[in-house]
Amino acid sequence: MTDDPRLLELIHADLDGRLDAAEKAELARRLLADPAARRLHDELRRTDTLLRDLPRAEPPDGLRSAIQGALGLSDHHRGGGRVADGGVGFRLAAAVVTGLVVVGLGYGLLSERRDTTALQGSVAAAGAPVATLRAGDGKVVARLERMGTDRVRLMLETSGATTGELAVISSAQGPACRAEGAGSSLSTSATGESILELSGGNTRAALDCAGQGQVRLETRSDGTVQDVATVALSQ
Amino acid sequence: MSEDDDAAAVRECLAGNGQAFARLVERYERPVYNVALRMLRNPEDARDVSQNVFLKAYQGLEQYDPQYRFYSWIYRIAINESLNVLRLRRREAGPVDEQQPADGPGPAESLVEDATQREVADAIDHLKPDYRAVIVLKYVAERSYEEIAEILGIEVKTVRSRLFTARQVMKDRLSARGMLG
Repeated sequence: MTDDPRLLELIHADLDGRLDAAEKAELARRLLADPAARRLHDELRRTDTLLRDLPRAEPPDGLRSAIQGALGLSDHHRGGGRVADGGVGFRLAAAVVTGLVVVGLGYGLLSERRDTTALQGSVAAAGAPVATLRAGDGKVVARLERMGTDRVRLMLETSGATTGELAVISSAQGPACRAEGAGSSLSTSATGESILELSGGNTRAALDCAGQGQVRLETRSDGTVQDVATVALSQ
Repeated sequence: MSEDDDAAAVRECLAGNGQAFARLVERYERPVYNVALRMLRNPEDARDVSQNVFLKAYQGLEQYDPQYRFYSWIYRIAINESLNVLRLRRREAGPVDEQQPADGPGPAESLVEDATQREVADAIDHLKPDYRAVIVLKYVAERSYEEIAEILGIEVKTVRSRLFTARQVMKDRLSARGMLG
């Protein structure tokens, strides 16, 4: 009987190497006497083997440095002793990260009410370092990553039919923003507003903002602000 | 790096050496990413979850209870974050057939899988999230029943029950698709 709970328990425990000698003998007797039990045992063992043989992936390039950058940690830590910043430094960094997660979650909540087909602001469900923007089809088109306590970088890549505007607005005398890549339509106004206009073509752009103060992100469609995220930078 | 090394890194970090956390990132980046990838089967989401896991761990380090192993704590964050993504996907997708994978992600492009491995991954995708978590912790993170119980905050007998059921469901699906012949 292959639905016998005792038999199932013995087979699964066998797969996990958790049978003692008496239980092994009991399982062997049952398998010998019952062809259906033998087939069940074979199939579960094969399933177990297939699961164990699943390949592992290498993390994407830049993941570790993105994490360490977001936390303000150096990539070259090996052999380093204690640094002199004391517990205050850790608490400050942790507070900054807390703020980012809160901003991210708030941004995500705002986004859930949205129903647009153009560029949508939504924090990645996991609440990526700061924010992830997705197009209406769910594809990530922009990623805002903290590169340290005083620097944030927006990386944007679109192809296809994504339309809308992404405005990056720096507070007065706040962080300076500088375009690093070539956007299809990137402009910066005298008031510190950088606009990336997406008109359905391919766009690759990166924007670096560094300094102290706030950086505000707005996604817009037909001139209407759809979503907002604010990031505070400190030195 | 051992469990003692993890504990030392946590202590150093709490004492003010934030760089000590980089050792934990280095050690757990790959396993955390793989857990997220198998839970979500989407490299983009797995990357986002991995980043958030370490941010949350860093943020919450002062609340970390050293009576638990650090890896249990970090895997717990990884599983919870992944489950949050699955819940969000389901909410965005609306009501779905229980027999279909509610999450609907594409294949994990960062994995090189043959046809059999894709079938196995599909079978994992069809498990309910709580069962998927046990399978991923058992086979991807290679944790014991007891460790899985600690990570998920459930009893060992519940781990055993979920693992048995999950394997049975996967066996049935793989057998129906001729993968166990």
